[in-house]
Amino acid sequence: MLEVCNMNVVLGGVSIVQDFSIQVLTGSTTALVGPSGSGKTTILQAICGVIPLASGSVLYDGIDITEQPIHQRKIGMVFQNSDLFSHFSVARNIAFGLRFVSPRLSPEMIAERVQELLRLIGMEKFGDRHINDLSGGEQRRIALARAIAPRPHLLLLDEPFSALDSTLRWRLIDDVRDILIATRTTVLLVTHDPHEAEALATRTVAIAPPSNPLK
Amino acid sequence: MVGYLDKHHVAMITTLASLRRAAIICGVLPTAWLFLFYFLPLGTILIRAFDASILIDVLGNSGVRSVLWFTLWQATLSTALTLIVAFPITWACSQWNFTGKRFIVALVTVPFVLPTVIVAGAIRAVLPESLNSGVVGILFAHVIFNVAIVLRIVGARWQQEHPNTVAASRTLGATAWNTFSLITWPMIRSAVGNAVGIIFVFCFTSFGIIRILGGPRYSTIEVEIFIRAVQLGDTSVATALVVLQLVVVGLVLGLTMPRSLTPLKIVTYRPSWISDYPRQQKLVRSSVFATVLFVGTPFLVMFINSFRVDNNWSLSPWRHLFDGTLSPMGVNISKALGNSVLFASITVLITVPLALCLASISAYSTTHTARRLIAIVASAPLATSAVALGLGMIITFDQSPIDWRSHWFLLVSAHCTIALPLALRSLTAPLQSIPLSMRDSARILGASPLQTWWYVDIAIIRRPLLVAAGLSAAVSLGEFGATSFLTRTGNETIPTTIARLLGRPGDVVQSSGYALASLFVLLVIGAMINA
Repeated sequence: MLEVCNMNVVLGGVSIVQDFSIQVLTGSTTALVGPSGSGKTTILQAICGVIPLASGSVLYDGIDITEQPIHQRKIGMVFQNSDLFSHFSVARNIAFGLRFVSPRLSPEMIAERVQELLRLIGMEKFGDRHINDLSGGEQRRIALARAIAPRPHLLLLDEPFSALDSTLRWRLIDDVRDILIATRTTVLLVTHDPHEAEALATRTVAIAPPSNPLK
Repeated sequence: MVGYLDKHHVAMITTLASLRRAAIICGVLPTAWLFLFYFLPLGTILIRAFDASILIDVLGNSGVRSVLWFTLWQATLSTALTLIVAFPITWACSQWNFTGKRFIVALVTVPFVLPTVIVAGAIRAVLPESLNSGVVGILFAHVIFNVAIVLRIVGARWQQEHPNTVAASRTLGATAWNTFSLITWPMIRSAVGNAVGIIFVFCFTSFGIIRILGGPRYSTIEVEIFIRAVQLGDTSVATALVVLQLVVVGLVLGLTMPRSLTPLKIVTYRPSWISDYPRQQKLVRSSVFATVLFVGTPFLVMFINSFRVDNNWSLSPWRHLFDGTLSPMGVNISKALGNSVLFASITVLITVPLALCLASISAYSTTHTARRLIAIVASAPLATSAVALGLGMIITFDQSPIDWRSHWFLLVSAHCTIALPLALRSLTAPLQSIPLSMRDSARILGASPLQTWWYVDIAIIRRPLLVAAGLSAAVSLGEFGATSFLTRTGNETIPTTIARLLGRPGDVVQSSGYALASLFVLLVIGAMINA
């Protein structure tokens, strides 16, 4: 279980997140819903360790991971955009985390896991394709497959469908829901769309709009 | 709608066509300039003085071989050391925001725009006498001079790395080192290669620094060309050395030049404030402190030494600059200052329009080959030794009706030719990044092609134009290699005067050299802060 206690994040002298707390149960999908500028993305980045906390703590299964380096936290994240490695093929993107999390995996085992994930997201034939040759929806699927490949304890999804058109978005939401159920991944999802949250999450938490949005 | 599209289409075609036509007409000027002041002098050297058998003899000469060997290894070592010194500060400045960052970038850039003789003078001031002339000083000076190249070229590329890519790699279990080697390095590799090529060429063709810090023992090919041509009058060997140098420089630039000349997407990400990231603060602070110490100390010591005569504090070195005491040595500071400013102003007035013409042809041309050709031809002076250019000019323009050997214009034309590639680089990318639709809009709104050019193109590239002017002025003010060949009594510039003062025995004369160099550094820093 993930526990965030009294999280405060200050960036460039501005308080972005104030006294935020949340619990995410193992195996559940929790959606954090709020308007733009409410600090949703910052909360996710602070949980996975990309940005530091001014105060507060992040615990996983009762262990304080606030000071743990990012790469040791076993928390995966799908960013809103531009997080795929454009100089790697699709297969190498998905395999990226496997070599660090499971250094003993042989190349054959890595290839097998990559193929398994490509099948799961319905893109078996895309392994050798270049990232820049994929559509927006395909790129989102690859980002998801790459994030779940090392079997993280917790997966953070930052507005994963925001840049997609309506039809594609709903089709992908259905697919992602099936994938998350199949892999039994614990998820904390951030979105500004309550319908998206309703379709994916078992629990929804609303976050208050910024107290001074013009600041 | 159809009518609008037709009209829009016609406007697009006519805008591009008229711009291209105008650019081609304008292209006559820089082409003629490059032919007259670059290709003709170099061609003349090759035709008049080059003899393959002399080149073979030269290569067989053990003295020349040791010069070539020294030139090669000091350039390689200088390049490697520059990368080692520059990488931490490049990381700090491209990835983080911190108070005083602009000052640090300016401080690192100052040595690059200063005359090499001043950098050499500063190093001589800071090193103990036993190391005053030798390899340590040469390497130290080359590193200080070239750190800015890594900061500017690699830093600009590094800033284009999306922060999410790095974060994604870390969340997937990669350590900071894994992330650098697998994600960041492939992205900045070509920029590093490009910087390595340029630094190697600058160190390989080093002249001012070697003249002052090399002493009688150490000489590069560039210095050897000067000694053979000017001091020994042996133009055949000097020419063979020019050819040898051109071959090495051409090879290095060919290997390290970016494969594609397509301008990079001008997308940079605003770095985070380091104060929010306590873990990285220590690293950034150490990088900044080490760089300030490494780059700033020599100039500070040089400034202090300008007040020291025979181990006592004195203002006489500064007083002597302007009271005529140095006149018997053929040193006239006010005349040299006036010459430097005059030559720099004329260089700006000639170079910027020439660069603008070339950049316009490149920007308005639709074929990749044309762009590549312009980039290569116009960059050629950057790859050619200034000493070789000076030698070529003296040999070429030595007969009536164009006997310009003792004319100041020849000196200025060398400055313009050397500054042209840098000015061109400042203007090409900004011009290429202007969307054609912007010009079309101006045309549809009734602007003539000339008005479109003025109100769209020139208005947008106003700042790059200032950068081009600044770089041209800096090149002219600091140029030493070609100037050493072309300067005559009455045409001395600040760098040649400083070299003369530092080359003379006597404590007070040396200190006056430091005083003049300090004055120049203060002027440059003032100009940079104002800019």
